Amino acid sequence: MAAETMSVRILESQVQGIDFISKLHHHKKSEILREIVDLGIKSKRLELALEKFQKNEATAWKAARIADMPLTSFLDVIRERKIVFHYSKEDLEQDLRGLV
Amino acid sequence: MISNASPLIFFSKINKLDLLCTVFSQIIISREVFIEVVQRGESRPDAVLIEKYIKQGNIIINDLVLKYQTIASQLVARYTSLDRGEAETIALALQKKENEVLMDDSAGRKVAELNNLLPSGSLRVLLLAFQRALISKEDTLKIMKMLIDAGLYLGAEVVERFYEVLDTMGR
Repeated sequence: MAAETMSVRILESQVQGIDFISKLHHHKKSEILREIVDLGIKSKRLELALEKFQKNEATAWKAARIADMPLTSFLDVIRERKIVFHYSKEDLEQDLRGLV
Repeated sequence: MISNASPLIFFSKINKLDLLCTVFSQIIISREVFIEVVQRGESRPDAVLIEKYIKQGNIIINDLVLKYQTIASQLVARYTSLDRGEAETIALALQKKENEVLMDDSAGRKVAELNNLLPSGSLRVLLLAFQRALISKEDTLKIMKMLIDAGLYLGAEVVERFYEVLDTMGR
């Protein structure tokens, strides 16, 4: 259940959007709004995580925590988006010790 | 070999944990790595497979003693791009007086190095397996591509160098 009541001014277009979904869905506006907030938090956290990862400010693991998803899922996301993993040519050279 | 989370996840996703466990005979992980790769992975196939290897005793969980828990906390405070998990992997390697640690992420590898540990990545595992004739050259390339598909999405210059090395490597 909702733990806190927040008063936020929202745009007319947002009100219309919520009304539209509410009528189509036959759900209460408050329920729709809570669902939208949940979805928004999820996508915002992922966006922040990807940004931190790409700026080298977070490892994949730390970014997964920011995104609030398991590391295995975050690795899938960076693969899908073709974001290069933090493993440089210098890292490879280091991994070649004693091999070449 | 003490392993971080991502090498385990990558090799599990491509169903090649056996190769990893053959190259190193025993893989040791911290509690935090276990939580990430098995518990947070829930019932995903890669998490289930890793759990099976733990039950079989191929992968062992070691806990940090208080002194090294403190070291892990210090690492997280100092290197803010690291997760607590990576810090625990490094701390566990230090606790066990290891020389090496299995880790892919550049930032984690740098911190490992600063703590006098030699980082080894998933690609090194592959090349070691090739050198020891556990896999053919063709398989080595195939598995490298599978790792890329599993999320170890490599830059073009890394892939190019990998090809070059494999061509010159004798065994």
